[in-house]
Amino acid sequence: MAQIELAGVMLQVDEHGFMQETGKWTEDIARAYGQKEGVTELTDDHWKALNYLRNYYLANGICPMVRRLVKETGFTLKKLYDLFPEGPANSACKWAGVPKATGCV
Amino acid sequence: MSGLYWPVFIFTIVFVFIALMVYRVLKIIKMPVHLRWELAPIPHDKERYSHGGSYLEEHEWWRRKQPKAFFPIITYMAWEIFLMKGVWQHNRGLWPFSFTLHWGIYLVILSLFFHFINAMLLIGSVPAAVQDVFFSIASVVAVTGYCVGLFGVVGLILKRYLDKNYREYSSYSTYFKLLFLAAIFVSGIVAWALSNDFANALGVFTRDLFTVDSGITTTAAMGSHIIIIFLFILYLPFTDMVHFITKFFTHHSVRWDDSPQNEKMTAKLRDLINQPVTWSAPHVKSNRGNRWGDIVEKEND
Amino acid sequence: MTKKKKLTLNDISRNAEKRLTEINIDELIPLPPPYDKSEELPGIKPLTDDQKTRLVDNLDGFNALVLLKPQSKEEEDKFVRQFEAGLKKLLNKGDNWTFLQPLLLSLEHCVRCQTCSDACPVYVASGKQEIYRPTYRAEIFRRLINKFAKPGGKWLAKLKGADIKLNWATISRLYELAYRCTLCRRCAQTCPIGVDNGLITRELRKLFSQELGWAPKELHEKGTVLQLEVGSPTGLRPDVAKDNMEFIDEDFTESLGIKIKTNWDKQGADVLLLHSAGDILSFPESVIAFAIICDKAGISWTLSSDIPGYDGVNYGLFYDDIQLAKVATRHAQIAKKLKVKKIVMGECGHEHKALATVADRLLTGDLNIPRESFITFFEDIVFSGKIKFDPSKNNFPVTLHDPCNIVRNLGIVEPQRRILRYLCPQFREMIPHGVDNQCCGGGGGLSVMSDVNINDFKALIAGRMKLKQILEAFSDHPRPDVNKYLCAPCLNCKLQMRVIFDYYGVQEKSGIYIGGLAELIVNAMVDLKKPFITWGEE
Repeated sequence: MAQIELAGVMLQVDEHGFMQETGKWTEDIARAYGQKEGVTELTDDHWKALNYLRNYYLANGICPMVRRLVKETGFTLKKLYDLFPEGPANSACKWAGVPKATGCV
Repeated sequence: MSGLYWPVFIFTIVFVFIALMVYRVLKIIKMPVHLRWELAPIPHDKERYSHGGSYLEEHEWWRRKQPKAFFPIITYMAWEIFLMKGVWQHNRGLWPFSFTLHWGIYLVILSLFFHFINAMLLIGSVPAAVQDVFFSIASVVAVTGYCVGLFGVVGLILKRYLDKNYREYSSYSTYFKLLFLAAIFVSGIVAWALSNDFANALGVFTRDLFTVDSGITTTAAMGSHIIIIFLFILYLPFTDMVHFITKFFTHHSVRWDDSPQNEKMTAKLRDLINQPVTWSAPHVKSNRGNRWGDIVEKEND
Repeated sequence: MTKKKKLTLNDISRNAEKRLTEINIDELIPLPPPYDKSEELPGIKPLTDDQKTRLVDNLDGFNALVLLKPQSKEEEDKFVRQFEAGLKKLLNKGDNWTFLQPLLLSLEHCVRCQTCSDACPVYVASGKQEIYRPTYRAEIFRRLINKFAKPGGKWLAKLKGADIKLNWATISRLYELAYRCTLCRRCAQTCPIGVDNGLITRELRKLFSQELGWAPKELHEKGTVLQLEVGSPTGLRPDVAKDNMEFIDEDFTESLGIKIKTNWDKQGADVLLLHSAGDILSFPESVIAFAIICDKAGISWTLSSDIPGYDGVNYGLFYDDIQLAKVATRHAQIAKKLKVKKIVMGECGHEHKALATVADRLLTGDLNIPRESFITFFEDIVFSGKIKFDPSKNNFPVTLHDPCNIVRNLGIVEPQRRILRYLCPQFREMIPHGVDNQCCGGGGGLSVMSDVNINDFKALIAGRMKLKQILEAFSDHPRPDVNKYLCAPCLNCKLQMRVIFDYYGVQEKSGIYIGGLAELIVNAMVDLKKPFITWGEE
């Protein structure tokens, strides 16, 4: 298992840098992920999407479908790509500290 | 070599050859029913074969018996066997050699058949004029076979050695097989060139063989040719050249086997899933002897 | 650039630490513009220094399997011994009754004529890299079986000049190499003798999985294992599946102005629709289109919320017979419990092959419930007159991708074309098509595999022939000013095409959109006032 240090915490991650122990997540970790992808400051919009994602994951064991994310946050897909450089699946989920989606999605 | 050594040598080899081929075929036939692994296009689907379709193209296909046509299979195999259609379509650079080698072999086999007929004509004391016609045919078939086959086999040897796409995939055994075939064709040409009544001599030899005449004899050149042919026949069942017969199974038992499960098969399948499994990966949970069916079922409890 | 040394079969067992070959993008076959400039592409993502220290990286610079470097020589030797034991089990009736006959037929009769090579999309697209030649992997495997699993194999190997070393280098490379083939079986179609290198590759994967416990995480641990436990390799639980469908039903009811309601667990329904859960999550319009078509045609249908009755995928088909049998058996048991008349398999190619044909000889007795493809199911509906269509609503360029598992493997070729010729005035074929199609490049499980940098392999090499074909089919409208529809009626194909399209920016540069067959049928319905296909608009 790969490891990286983010916001002073040693984290187990997969080969794409997604956290494997979602319980260790903190808001500082989200900020640190953002920094790595060139987003120096997380705005309210970022947090709205991240919190929704994370809470959805914790309740349902899976990331929400994009359609749902769009509807619940009120952001367009384009807006989501503006907020998260690699898009909702590759950036937002990672920053929210949930594992990468696998299996035909 | 003269006298009774000949019939003993030849008939033993023929017997061993047949026994080995029967063994190889039985081994294939007796293998367990396997899971379906068909591949389109399947020629026995007569109406849909032209576009590669199968009975699964039919809405609720299980409602009627799906007929299997026989004729298109024969046509398919004939194109393959006599014209090497697959190689022509997908590997044209190899085709001239593959085609001629195969035809060389077919013609040599056909010539053996003619020598047998000639032996019968000799036994039956058919008029010499008729015999001469058959001797001529046998000679032409045999010599054409030798020449065509030699062209093919030399081409294949050179291609295998010189073409980088083949060289790495050719082992000693590949060259040995081709050289063996070349030896048949070359020895045939030599025997023919050194003999002024080639087919006649072989006809007489074949007659003496079948009448088990202790006076059976032949020239050194002819004898070598015959020995090489029969040693090759002995060698063949140990090689990939058995594809002349196993090709039937690769097609009928796998590629074209789209038979839905039937009662006879169900009984066999029930036995098969009752067999112990020894795979060692943890998820298989074979415990070196749990039964296939139980392993599959258990996960579902 | 220095000329590469010709790769030999025995190189597989030499220098375990070194890559067997290096892939240079400029050696791949060219693509049409604007995709012909390799410097404008993302390239191949190199392994990080950390990955280089942890992972085995001795094949081609791509990494799909995240195989960790062994800690000691003893550990390496243990794996090698296990592999050798596995070779023998493949030839054992009890362990491998499922494929023993096809395997032996393919192993024993190849004459190395290389007729299959040029049929392979991976080999050809790569600019004919020896390592991807269909016979390269197969011949090594054949020599290993002959040497280690057959009597007298060791001295015969020397005598025949077909000796090959079995060591850590050999097995670690073969493992990764087994996942450079999409199991599309184009090679098998060309073999004059009937040898199947796709089958050989799958047997190799099976040996690794069933004996060593080595399988791609996405196919096994987060694949079949998760599916049997939670319900779906996506991690979608039954309650979440229902909740999601409810959400989608409402969403589409709102946007289309017609009532859509998914039926769940309806006992005695005529039809159990078996979608892939990935369609619910990533292509919900496909699932909705099925619901609309069934309702309009008056079909009694249902989905199942049993584990794993709402996810028809069966990754066992790609790597493991036991897992294949477990998943297929579960699917059949669910249909039996619901007392449906038949299962209709959704737009998922490998589900078709796994359930319709391969599992046909695993499901005995009353588990052998009739199973039909959505294609013939739709054809019957479309031409029944129950639904009114206006083909002019589909008046945009459409081409059809033939999923290998539905077309080449099952021979379902024409019904989908009859539908498209009727409903899509600008339908055009790719060349070649039908049973001669090119694989999307995501077959054999590659579509769901995305670890390290394997997506670069899928986009650059495995999917290259397909991309070329798609672009050529639309060469009359090369620019994005005209929206074009690529009908790919298989979830794995769609996902693989998304990988290709994202890599090259195909949607933006060429205006090509990926979708299934059901969406085109619904889009042409007279009853629907609003367009169903929205070209990426919300």
